[in-house]
Amino acid sequence: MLFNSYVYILFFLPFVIAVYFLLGRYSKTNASLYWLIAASLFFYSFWNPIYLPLLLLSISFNYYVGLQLQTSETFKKKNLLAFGILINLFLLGYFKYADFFIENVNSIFGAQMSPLYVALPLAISFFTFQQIAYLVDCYRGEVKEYSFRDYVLFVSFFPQLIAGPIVHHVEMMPQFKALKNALVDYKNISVGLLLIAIGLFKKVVVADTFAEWASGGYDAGVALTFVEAWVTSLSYTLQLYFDFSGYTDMAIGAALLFNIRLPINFNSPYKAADIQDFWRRWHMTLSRFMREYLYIPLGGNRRGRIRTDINVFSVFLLGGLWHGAAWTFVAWGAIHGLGMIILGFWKRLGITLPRVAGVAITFLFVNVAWVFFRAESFNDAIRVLRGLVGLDGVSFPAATERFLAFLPYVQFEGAFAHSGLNGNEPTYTIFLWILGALGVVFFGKNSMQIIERFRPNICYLLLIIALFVLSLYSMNNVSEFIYFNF
Amino acid sequence: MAYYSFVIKTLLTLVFVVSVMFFSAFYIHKQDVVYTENDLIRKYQFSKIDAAESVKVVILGDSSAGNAIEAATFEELSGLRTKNLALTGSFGFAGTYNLIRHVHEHHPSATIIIIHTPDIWDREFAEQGYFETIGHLSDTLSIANKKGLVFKQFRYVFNPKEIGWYFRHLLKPEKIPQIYNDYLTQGDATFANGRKQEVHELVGKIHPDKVSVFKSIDIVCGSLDIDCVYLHGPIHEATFERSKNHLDHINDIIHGMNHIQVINTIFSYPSSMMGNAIDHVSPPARKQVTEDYYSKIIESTSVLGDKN
Repeated sequence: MLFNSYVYILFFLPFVIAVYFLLGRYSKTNASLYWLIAASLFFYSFWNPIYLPLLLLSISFNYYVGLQLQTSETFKKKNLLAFGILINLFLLGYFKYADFFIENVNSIFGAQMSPLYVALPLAISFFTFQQIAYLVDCYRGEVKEYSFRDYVLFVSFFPQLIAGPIVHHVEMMPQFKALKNALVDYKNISVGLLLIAIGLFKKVVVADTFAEWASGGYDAGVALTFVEAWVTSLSYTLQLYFDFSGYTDMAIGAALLFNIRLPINFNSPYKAADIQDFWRRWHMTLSRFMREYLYIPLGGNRRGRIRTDINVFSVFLLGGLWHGAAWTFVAWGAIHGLGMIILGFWKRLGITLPRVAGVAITFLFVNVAWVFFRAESFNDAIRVLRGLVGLDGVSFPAATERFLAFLPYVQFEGAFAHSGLNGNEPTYTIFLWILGALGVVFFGKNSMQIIERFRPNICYLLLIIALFVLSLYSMNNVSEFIYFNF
Repeated sequence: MAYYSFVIKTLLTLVFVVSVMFFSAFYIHKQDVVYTENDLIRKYQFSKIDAAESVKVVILGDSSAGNAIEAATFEELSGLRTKNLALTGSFGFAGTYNLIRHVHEHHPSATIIIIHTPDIWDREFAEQGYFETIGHLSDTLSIANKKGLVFKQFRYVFNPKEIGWYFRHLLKPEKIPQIYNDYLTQGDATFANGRKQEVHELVGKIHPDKVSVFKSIDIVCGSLDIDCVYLHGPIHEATFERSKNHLDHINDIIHGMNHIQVINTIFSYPSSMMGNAIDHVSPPARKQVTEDYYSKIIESTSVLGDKN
């Protein structure tokens, strides 16, 4: 089930909320929590019921190991933790990386192993990382005793199950225990509705529009001219942000309807003044996980400059690999790792840039790095990169000729001839969309800032209605949130 | 405004507005307005299914069939009442699957001649074509048993975009080809008049959805006890020369069906007989091509033998 589907918006979510609060009001037991668990497992298996047993097995295994870690003698704990992490990574490795591994062995050693064609269970990257963090905290003695019910809900809670935010038990478990959360809070429902409306609009109206143009360029399979390449890359950069942040808004909004607060995951990342700032604003819960459970255990910045750089680079390499089983994702991670190292060097030199310059450079850097993230192969990535610097021709739309005729080596026809980007859209539509979206990401308030100013008045009522109506109008094709593949 | 009041007012307004939107969309959908040539040809061909006289031979398929076969000529040659109900490639095999079922309801003894362009085999499942031709029929296509597709039927019937399409149609209707000589008219630039020259080869992987639906067609021909024959649509001879491997691959896949009689001959023609696409015969050549197809069917099968 997708957040941007009619069945979720019009049937599943209203029904689950209604029963949740009815049970909370009239039942003396914690029936509402069991209902939430049932709804979450139904939500997960709606996609494909075959993988539900895997999720339940993973939850049961990790809960059991977590219990053992909390009660074991010190000398057994380390082995138990290693065992728990290895099993989790084995599962993730098998389902996500087996064919990638086979492909590389065949390529390097000339072997002819057949791929396994293992289908990727939904959300496996997310619930695996979430539970590894839990096991590590159990080992560290940072976990209070939780019931199996609360643990199941912690992992399977449907608003965050599929694509995050990656939640921490410390921030979730107390909320599940709080009985008052099973009673209706109209303020939370008001804010939740607004967030869902904003998120849905970002996804189905904005992100899906850019998705078409991004695909037109990336999937063209031919060289792109200058304008085509920039439209393609910027479209994807904007698509990814609005898609993922839109999903997160919907997740946070849906959770809020149940009086559960999820951590925020985006804080206007394209306003970042440097790459470190970017990672404090983009997919914040993943950054948190990588920092707490990878970077710091590796030694963080406590073992000298060179070791720090190695740690940073390693974390980003692994982060790239987490996003997808392909060398292009690893390259994307490596680019960001290199960016962080260069930033560290830059800071040590004491050079500072005006904020505007920093934001511009960071955005351009991130935009170029996303090319590797989106491209199906290095050839595709290079094709787009060549276009970005004009190596395959510089063509501007014919309408700009009277303003730019003085430029040498520039043509004024066939600006989108290769990618077919302007197949059905006038050229100015594409530019207006890109300029508008850039205006929003650089100067506009993000969703969290909007809800901070929320008041229960007619303006916000009309805003919610308008966003929902426009979104429901646009929702005629199923499209998958990008992060569903992770 | 208290939060309670805000929530109630917002939800009530939302329910009202969304209900109006969806029921308006449903109402407009039921009017079945012709927006595109696909709508036009679909309505035209469905009106022929409902015709009173008993039909003995029905041609189904896409535009390659619509442009290639002249029902009147085929009827003259076979002595059997014939209708050409070809749609377009947008409807794919899924549209043909539904039409077989619709035809069988009205004309249970009809032989079905299915003709599709070889170019259709690398295209995805024609979801919209499937739902636009399903009508009152049950959703029995095996591929439709995937969960996502089942709920998509709701989305076709209650599609808010119908509202936008309808008003755009009122303000600025699309220029669409008309029906002439029992099918959609072709564009002006054709191979026959020399204004079209670019020929491409057929490439691409055979889409698994297409194979699956083709097998479903085979099953439905068997379960409804229909004589079904499948032939490839005509293509430009230059395309044929360049695409032999691809065509052989398609023939390997369709070989060995249980109920469809497959004739894997490729009908290829020179530019002088081709129309506005590599798989559209030019109108003056239609009679000749119909005769070629009829001869092949007679030579390879006995389905037209005892229908009189």
